[in-house]
Amino acid sequence: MALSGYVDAEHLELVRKDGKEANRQRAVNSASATINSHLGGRHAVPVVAGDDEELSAQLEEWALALALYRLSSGTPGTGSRIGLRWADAMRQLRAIRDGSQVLIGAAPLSDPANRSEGAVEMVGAAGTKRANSFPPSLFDCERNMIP
Amino acid sequence: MRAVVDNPRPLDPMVAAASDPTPYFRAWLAMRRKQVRSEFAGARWLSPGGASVKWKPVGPFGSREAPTSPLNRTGRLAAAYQGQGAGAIEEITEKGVLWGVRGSVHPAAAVHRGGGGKVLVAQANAPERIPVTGRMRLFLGHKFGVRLKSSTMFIVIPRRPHATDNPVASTRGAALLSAHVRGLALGNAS
Repeated sequence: MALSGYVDAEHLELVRKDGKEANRQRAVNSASATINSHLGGRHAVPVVAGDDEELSAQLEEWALALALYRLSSGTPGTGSRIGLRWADAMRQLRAIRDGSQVLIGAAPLSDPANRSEGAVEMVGAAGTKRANSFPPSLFDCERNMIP
Repeated sequence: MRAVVDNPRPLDPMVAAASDPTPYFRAWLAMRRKQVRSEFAGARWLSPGGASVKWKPVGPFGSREAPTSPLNRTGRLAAAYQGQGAGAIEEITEKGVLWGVRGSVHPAAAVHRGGGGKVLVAQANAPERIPVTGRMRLFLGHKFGVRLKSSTMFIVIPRRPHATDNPVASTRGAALLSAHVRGLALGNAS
């Protein structure tokens, strides 16, 4: 199972090369900017120092959590009723696990080098397949899935 | 160039944890209630852009004196948001969480908060304009000793929004969700 990534490959390569904290921070900043550009927020991505795989995993999980949060934070009820609705977020999480949807289309999947298992196609809400193209961002998924 | 990065962590445990979201909902609710407590205590709101904006003060109205703090004349509305007293809503199921106050008990709550759904800055800045009726004129004269001019067509009530989504709340909400799906203790968010 793979999620499409946020971490700039160049930055990760720098981390691998010299292990400098500044480069790790650059990778985190780059990932934060990408996450925020897709999710429309101003989120400081909190990660705990680790090796680059751990860093990637944490960034992916944080992005996933933000995406699911946004998906669930439609406001049921009106007036002074506030809430979270979970069904759409759960459906999205299962779809990502099962490989029928990717989280965010930061990587052009038309390039075979960017494909990985489970990230090769996007099934839209209406069941239309959009294979091997830029997968829609989660914002698109959100628009598709929430009536 | 961006690359697809394999996530070395399997998603099955996350899906399993997310299947019972109720601990996350409880932590989220505590976090949001803390925000509202802070807003009522400081007579301000956290806007969707993240700014802390003071509520407009409430003046005296006829025979009724101004409260020491807006929306806090009796304390019942603030208490209801904290799940105490009449009109409090708290529904937590596996399908979602719903909280707030009942309009039947606090009829002005939606007016104060800024209307239905998400409250945006434009909505918050637009005061509620309530058309004046003959019955309203009688009531205001009897209850507060206020005699409206015949030319007065509307009563204008400034909004004092609260409990709205903002960057701090969404980041904290996502952090709680992230911790929950990773099987970490959520701690005391209140």
